[in-house]
Amino acid sequence: MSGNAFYGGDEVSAIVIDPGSKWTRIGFSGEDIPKCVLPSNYGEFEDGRRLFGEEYIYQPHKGMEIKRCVSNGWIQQWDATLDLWQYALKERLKTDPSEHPILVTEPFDNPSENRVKTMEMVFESLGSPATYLARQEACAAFASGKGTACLIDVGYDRASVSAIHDGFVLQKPYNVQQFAGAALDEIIADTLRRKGYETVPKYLVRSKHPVGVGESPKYERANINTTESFHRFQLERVYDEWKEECALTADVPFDSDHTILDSEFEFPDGARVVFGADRYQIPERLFKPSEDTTMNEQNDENENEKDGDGDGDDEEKKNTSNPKTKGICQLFQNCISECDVDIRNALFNNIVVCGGTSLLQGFSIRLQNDLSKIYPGNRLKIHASGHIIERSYASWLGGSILSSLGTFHQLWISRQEYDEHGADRLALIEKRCK
Amino acid sequence: MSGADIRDVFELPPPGTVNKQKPKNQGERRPEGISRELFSLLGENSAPLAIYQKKFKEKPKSNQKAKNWVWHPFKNPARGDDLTLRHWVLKSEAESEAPYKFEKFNTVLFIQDYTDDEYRELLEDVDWSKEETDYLFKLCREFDLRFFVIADRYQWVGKNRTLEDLKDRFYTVSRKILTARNPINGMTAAQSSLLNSMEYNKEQEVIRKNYLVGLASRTPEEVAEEEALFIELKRIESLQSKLLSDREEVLKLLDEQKSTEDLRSFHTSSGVSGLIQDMVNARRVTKPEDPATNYSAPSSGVSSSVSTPGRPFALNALKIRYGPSPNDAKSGISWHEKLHSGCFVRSQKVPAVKASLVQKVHATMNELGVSSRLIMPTAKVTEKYVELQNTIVVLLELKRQLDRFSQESDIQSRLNGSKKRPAPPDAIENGSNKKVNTGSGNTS
Repeated sequence: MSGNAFYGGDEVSAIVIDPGSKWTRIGFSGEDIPKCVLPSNYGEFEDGRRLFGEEYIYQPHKGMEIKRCVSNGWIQQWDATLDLWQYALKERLKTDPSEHPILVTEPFDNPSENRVKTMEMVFESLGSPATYLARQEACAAFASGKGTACLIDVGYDRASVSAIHDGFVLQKPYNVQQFAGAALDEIIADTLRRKGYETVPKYLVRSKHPVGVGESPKYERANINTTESFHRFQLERVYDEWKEECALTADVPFDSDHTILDSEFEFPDGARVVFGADRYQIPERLFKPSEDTTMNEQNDENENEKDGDGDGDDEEKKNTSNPKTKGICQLFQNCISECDVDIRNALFNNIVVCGGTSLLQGFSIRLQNDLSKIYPGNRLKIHASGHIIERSYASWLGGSILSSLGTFHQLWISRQEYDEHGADRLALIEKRCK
Repeated sequence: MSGADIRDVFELPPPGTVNKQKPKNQGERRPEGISRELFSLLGENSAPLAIYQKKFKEKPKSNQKAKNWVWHPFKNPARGDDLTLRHWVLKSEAESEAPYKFEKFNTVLFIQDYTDDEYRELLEDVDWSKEETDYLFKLCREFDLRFFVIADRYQWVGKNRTLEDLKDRFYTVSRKILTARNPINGMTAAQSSLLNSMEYNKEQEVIRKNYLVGLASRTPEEVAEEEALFIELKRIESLQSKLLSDREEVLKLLDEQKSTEDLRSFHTSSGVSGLIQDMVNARRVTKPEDPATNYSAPSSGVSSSVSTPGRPFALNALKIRYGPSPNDAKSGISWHEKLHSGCFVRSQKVPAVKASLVQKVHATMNELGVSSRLIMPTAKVTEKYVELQNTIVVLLELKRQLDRFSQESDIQSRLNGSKKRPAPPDAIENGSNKKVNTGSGNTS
């Protein structure tokens, strides 16, 4: 703290909860990483017992079904989510939520019922003295230190492009679609199936022997019987590894003329497979969702799936690609064209990229090239942090920054205000959390 | 000398006796019960110690006492309710009950409020209902006049309002209220500046925005085309300006009228010589560019129209060569490489000779019967004098060289002569040849 600069922070030991479709991040405000990062999935047994956290749900327990709390950025399973948060707060952070104000992040298109329910859950079930619902897009922009930005967020369930002006997310330019990391997982599964290869996740491999490239794997299969949902959950981990190691985004639209660098990937069962064009074609789908539609659609079905006490398992409904799916650059164009001309320049100069799937190799370079081609006259500046934590946890970081500012503390919704507005809680949220 | 004798001289004992003497002193004897290795480490025989420096950092020294921080509850006066949050503060600050230091950041923009009567009197508008105007003002207060966000979130049934509409309505209403409440003459400075800030020209803004939209929606080909056109325009402009400047030069040379300047400056000799110098320089500049201007003139259609009607004579003038002509001496025109400015004494401007040669030059001149100081230094005389001087310098130089080489050739010939005693008749010829050859400057 230098003498002349006025330190704008004033930590009140608030807690920041950032529920994502794949990971839930919970930690203390003012810190630079969330102390607790849990999968947004949970294991549930027939008797109703639930398990949370990687060290539990990655183990193949008998009769354990893996279910999701959050889907498409919206909380679907309310009591499971509450259990998850309480587990994180009590067992991991070792705090009592009734002592801390809690900031919860939400996506911009969060349905109104969800917003009210979140607030009720925080006040009544967690017993916290104050809360606030912050927009994940605005928070991600704050994490880059920007009040005005154009945010490109490519996560697990959703990819969105949003325009943020002075800390407010603009409604009309907001573009989102459900084609992101999860869709890529489906495509990878298809590709491997077509190659005639059966992916074996790690939990089924008791021991393995080294084999040559392209040979059939030699391994001992563990005799474990688990549920279908668990198996699929573990398969996704293999696909994640593939995305981290093998996937490569071409820096110009990928076609047959592009030079192909082969790469060998070793699966958990020891099989070594060489991938060539697939390395490029799979991330390419983010930019150019191709015309071959492997059918399962509807965005609409997912929108109707709002209340969550039923089974929120909608993995079948993931879009692989449907004619309405747009590339990221198309989303960006739609967003910008809806924006007022006067702020477009500011948005071009402050393009922020975040989201776990944006960490694909070559993603930012390809984005830069494509956007420069679409907008040749303008000066585009893309801010894509090199730090994995900053990209994946951007919204949590923004929430941490926001809730530790001295000037923020007049914005909290206190329990007193909540009680006063007993009848009209939605109006309260809409007025306070814009 | 035998060994025995030497031993006698040095008084050394006989050879057999030396080996028998054993050094009796063994140093310390180790006591019973201690191993040899252990004993070698103790006492006199102790191993040298390795001294390790303590590698930890110095403990930070602070003159201050530790400060006392408390977990202190506080209320934010900017809030409407009683929410009590807690934070860490220095105990002294906590006890002093200072106001919350972030309260002052809760600034509120000043937005006019109007009563129903005022609305009925001043602000009625066909397009805007009172409810809608109220809604607009509510949004303005909520979003602190961030019109981009207001326009984005604006939702009124049945109406599609653009940003300009909203701004226009807002500023019109504010202006009307302000002027109604404070007559223009009686306004304070703050209020009048506020009024000025509320100027908003809707048509202009709409036109500007449409223009910007058009600009933003250019295709890449259009952008490239525009840039190419722009470069072309710049090129044409630069050529045109160059042509104009060339024309000016030529006119100047012909007319030689600097009528704009004060003529008195040209009455002095320095002024005149300055003018001459300028002309010389200008001539030097235009000369190499002649072919260039003649080449570029036909390429740009603009230039031809510029040059022809006014002065057809001018173009012909470009082809005149400047230089000495045989009639010059008659008419008194002289050409110089270097012109001196101002008055000068001609004899002083005679080029000086090298210091080493000065004496010799003067000596030579005396020999020839020419005095080194000129009696009547007119132009012709000094010219001749300078010529003479240069020739003398050359003469002296050559003489020096000749002396040097002849000396060397003498030495060489004497050397050769001494070596080859029974000299064939060729040797002498060689020597003489050598003498001749030394003029070329290489010693053999």
